[in-house]
Amino acid sequence: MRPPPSLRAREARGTAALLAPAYLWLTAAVFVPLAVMLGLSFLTETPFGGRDWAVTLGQYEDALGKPLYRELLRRSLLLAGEVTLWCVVIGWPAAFVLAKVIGPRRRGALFLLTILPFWSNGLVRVFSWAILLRGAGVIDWAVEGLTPLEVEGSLLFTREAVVIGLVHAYLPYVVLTGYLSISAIGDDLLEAARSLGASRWLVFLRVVAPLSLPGVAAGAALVFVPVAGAFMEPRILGGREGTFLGTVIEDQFTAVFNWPFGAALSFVLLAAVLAVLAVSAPAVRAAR
Amino acid sequence: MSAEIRLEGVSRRFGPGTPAADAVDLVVPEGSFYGLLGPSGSGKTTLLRLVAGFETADAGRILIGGAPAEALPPERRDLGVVFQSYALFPNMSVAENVGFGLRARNLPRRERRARVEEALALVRLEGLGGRRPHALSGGQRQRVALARALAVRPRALLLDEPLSALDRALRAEMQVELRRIQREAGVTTLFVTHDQEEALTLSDRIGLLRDGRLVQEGPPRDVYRRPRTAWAARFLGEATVFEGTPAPGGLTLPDGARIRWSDAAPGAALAAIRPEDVTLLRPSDPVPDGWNALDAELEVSIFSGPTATHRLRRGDLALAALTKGGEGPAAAPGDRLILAWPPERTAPLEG
Amino acid sequence: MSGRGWRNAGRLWLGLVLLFLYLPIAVMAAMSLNASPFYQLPFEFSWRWYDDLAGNRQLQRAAWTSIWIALATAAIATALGTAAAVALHRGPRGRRVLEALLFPPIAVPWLITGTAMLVFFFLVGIGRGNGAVLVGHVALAIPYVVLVVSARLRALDPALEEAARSLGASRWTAFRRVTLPFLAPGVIAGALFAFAVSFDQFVISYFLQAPGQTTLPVEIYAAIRKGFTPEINAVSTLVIGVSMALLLLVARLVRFGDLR
Repeated sequence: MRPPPSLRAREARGTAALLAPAYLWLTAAVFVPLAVMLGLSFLTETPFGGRDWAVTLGQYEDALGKPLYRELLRRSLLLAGEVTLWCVVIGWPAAFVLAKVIGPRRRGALFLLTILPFWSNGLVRVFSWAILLRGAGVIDWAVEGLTPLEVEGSLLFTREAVVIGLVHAYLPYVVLTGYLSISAIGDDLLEAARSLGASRWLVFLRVVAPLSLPGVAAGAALVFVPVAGAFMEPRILGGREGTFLGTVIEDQFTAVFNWPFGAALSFVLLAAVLAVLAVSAPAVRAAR
Repeated sequence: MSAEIRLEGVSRRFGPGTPAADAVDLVVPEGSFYGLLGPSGSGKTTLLRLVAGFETADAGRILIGGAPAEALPPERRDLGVVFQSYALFPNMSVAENVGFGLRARNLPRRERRARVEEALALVRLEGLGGRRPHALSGGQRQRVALARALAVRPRALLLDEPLSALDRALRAEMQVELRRIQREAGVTTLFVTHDQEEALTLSDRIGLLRDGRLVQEGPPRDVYRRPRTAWAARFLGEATVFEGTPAPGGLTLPDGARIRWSDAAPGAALAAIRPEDVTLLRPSDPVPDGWNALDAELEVSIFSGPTATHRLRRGDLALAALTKGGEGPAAAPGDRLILAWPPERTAPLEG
Repeated sequence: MSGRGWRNAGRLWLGLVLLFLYLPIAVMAAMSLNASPFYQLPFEFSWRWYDDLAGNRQLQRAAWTSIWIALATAAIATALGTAAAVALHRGPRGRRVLEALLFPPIAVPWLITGTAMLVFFFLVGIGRGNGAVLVGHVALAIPYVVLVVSARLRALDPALEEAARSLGASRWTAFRRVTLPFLAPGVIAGALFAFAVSFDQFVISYFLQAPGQTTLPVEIYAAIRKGFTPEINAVSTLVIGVSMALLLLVARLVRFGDLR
C-alpha cells in the first residue's frame, strides 16, 4: 500500500529546476574548463589550428623536474606560508578583540570597518601600497621628518613589499572567520573558566584558542591557497623580486603562449597547495 | 462539513533508528477534539505534518473525510493549521492574515471581508483587523492564527502544541476559549502536545504516542484510569508501578504482599496505582474491608498548596501518595504508615 | 597586567590593525588630491587629476564597460543564485555536496580558474571579449549571492510558507506573497554584492579580455605597468570609494531587514 510518489517527486523536480541554471553555469564556466585544462596539461601542444599534438607527460616532467620550477614552487609555498602566518598572528587576536572585548554597540560598526577594505577593489589596494612604499614618497617623508634617520632606497620592489601587500589583502579573511568562530563561543563559557580560577591568558589558551581553531584554520586555508597562486601583487609590488610561480604561470598564458605547460604548472601548484592543507589538517585537529 | 481523519498503517522513517511513525492506526471522529500526546521525539509532530501534507508517508493511507489524501499537496487538502510559532505573516495586517486563505480561494472581496469579521468575532478579536502581528500580545497572536485557520471553514483543524507558548494564566484562559471555539465551529480538531495537562483538559479523545507507535487511545478519563502499560501510567500523570507474580484477582509482590484489582485481567504481572487514589493511615487505624494495604516508611512530604505529595519506601519499592490539604495522619520522616486503596482503583497493566 | 590593561591592549591592537588596513587607501586618496605628478611632498591641494580624468576617454570607456558588465552580472547572478539558495534551503539530497561545489570558484586561485576559462573558451570558439568576461563574472558572483540569500533564508520561520500553503496557496503563490517580501533585502544585498564582485574583478577580466574592450581594473593595471600617473590615483580612489559605498549599502540592507 505505497502512497503515490507523485508529491515527493514533484517537489524534487521543482528543486532540481531551481538548482539547474546556477549549477549548469558553474559547470560550464568553472568545472569543465578546469577539467579541460587538466587534459591540456597532458598534451604537447594546444590542439588548435592544425598543429600536431600528442599525449605526453613531458609538461609535468618539466614542471616537477627542472630545478627552476621546483625552486619557484618552493618560493611560492614559502611566501604563502609566511603571509598566512602573519595573517593569523595579526588577525586572530584582532578577531578576539572584536568578538569579546569591544562592546556590542560599537562592535557592528568596527567589524564592518575591518571587513570593508577587503571587499573593495583588490587591484587598487595593491596599487595604494605601491604608492605608499615608493621611494621619495610618504614613508620616507614621515620617517625623515619624525626621526633623525635617513631612508635609503625604497621598500617597493622588494619581497617584503609583496608580503605586506598580500597580508593587507588577505588579513580580513582570517579576521572574518576568526570573528565568526569566536563569537560562537558563549560568554558563559569564558565566565565559567574565569570563575574556576583561570587567568585571562589561560582562558585564551585553553578555551578560546582550541574552540576557535577550526574557524581560524579555515580562514588560514582561504589565505594560503590564493596567495600561492598570486601574480598581481608580486608584479606590482615585487619588480624583479616578484617572480613566483603565479607570475610564471601567467606568462605561459599571456606572453610565452605555452598553454599546456602553463596548465601543468597550475595543477602542480594546486596539488602542492592541497597537499599542504591535507597534511596540516590532522595537525589542526590534534591541536584541539 | 467537518470531516473525519483516518490514518491506516501510516509509517515514516527518517533514517536508521527509531521511526517517526510506526504503523499508526488512528481515527479522529468527525467534530471531535483529539489530543495526540507524547514526549519529544515521539513522532507526534511528524504525524501532524503527514496529515497536513508537509511530509509524505513511507507506507499506509491517510483519509480525510473518507477520501485518500496522500496525493494531494497541502494547499488542496482544505485543512486549517495552527503552527507552534503561529507563523503570522509579518508583512500583512491581522485582517490580511486572516483573509489570506480566502484570497487564495479567490473569494470576492465583499465576502472575504464578511468572513474575516466572522472569524475575528469567533476568537473575540473584533476591531483588531488593522494591527500588525508584531504589535500583538502572545495570546492575541494565537487567536489570530486560529481565526486565520478557521476563516476558510476547513474540513479539520490541526494544532501544533497550541498552549505551549503561553504563560500559566493565559494558558488556563485559552484552554476554555479553545474548547468553546471548537464547539462553536464544530470542526474536527487534531492537536499534538507533550503536556499531559493540555491533553487531558482539551481532548474528547487522547492518543498516547511513543517512539512512533500509538500505545493507547480513548477518552481521557479511560486512558487515565486504565493505562495499558507502565510507561503510559507514568507518562500520563504519576503512578506507582508494582511488579510481581500473577495471582488470582491480582498479583503477589516479591516480598509476599498481595495487590488486588477488580478487573478481569488474569496473568497480569504489573499493576499501577495513582497517588491521589491512596489513603494514608496510621498503623493503628482500621483498614476498610477488601482494600489493598501496604505498610511503608515515610521519606519526605512535599507541601504544594492545595495538595501534599508523600514519598514512601518499602524495601526496594518507592511509593507515592497524594493528600488534599490537611488530610491524613500527621507524620514525620521515618514514621511507618499504611497506604490503603480499594481494588477498583488498581490498574492492571499489559506491559 | 590587570583586566583593564589587557582590554586596552586589545583595543590598541585592533586600532593598529585598522590603521594598517586604511593607511594606504587614505594615502592614495590624499595623493590623488596632491598637485605634484611625482608624489612629491609637501602637499599641495589640487583637483587637476580628477580634471584630467574627465578628459581621459579611454579610462571612461573602460569604466562604462565595467559598469555594464557589472549590471549584467548582478542581474543574472542574482536570479540564478537566489533560485539555487531557495532550492538548497529546502534541504535536498546531496545538499552538502552542492554547497561544497560553490567553493571552487572562490577558493581555487583565480589565476587557475581564469586561465582555465581562457583555454576552454578559446577551444570552444567563444574566444575572448566581454561575453566571455560576463560568463566568468557570473560564475564568480553566484556563490556570493547564494551565501547572502541563504543567510537571509535561515532567518525565515519555515512555518510561514507552510502556513500559506495550508491555507490554500500554491507553492509559487506562497513564495511570492510571503517568502519573497521577507527575502527582498537579502536578494538586493546579493545583487549589490554581485555588482561589486564584478566591478572589482581583475584577474578573470585580465585573461578573458579582448584587446580594445577592457574593463576598468585591467585598464588601471596596464597603466600601472607602464608607469605611475596620478590620474590612475584619482580613478583608483573613485573606484574604492564606489566599492566601499556599495558594500556599506549591502551591510545596511542585510541588517535592517531583520528589524521587523
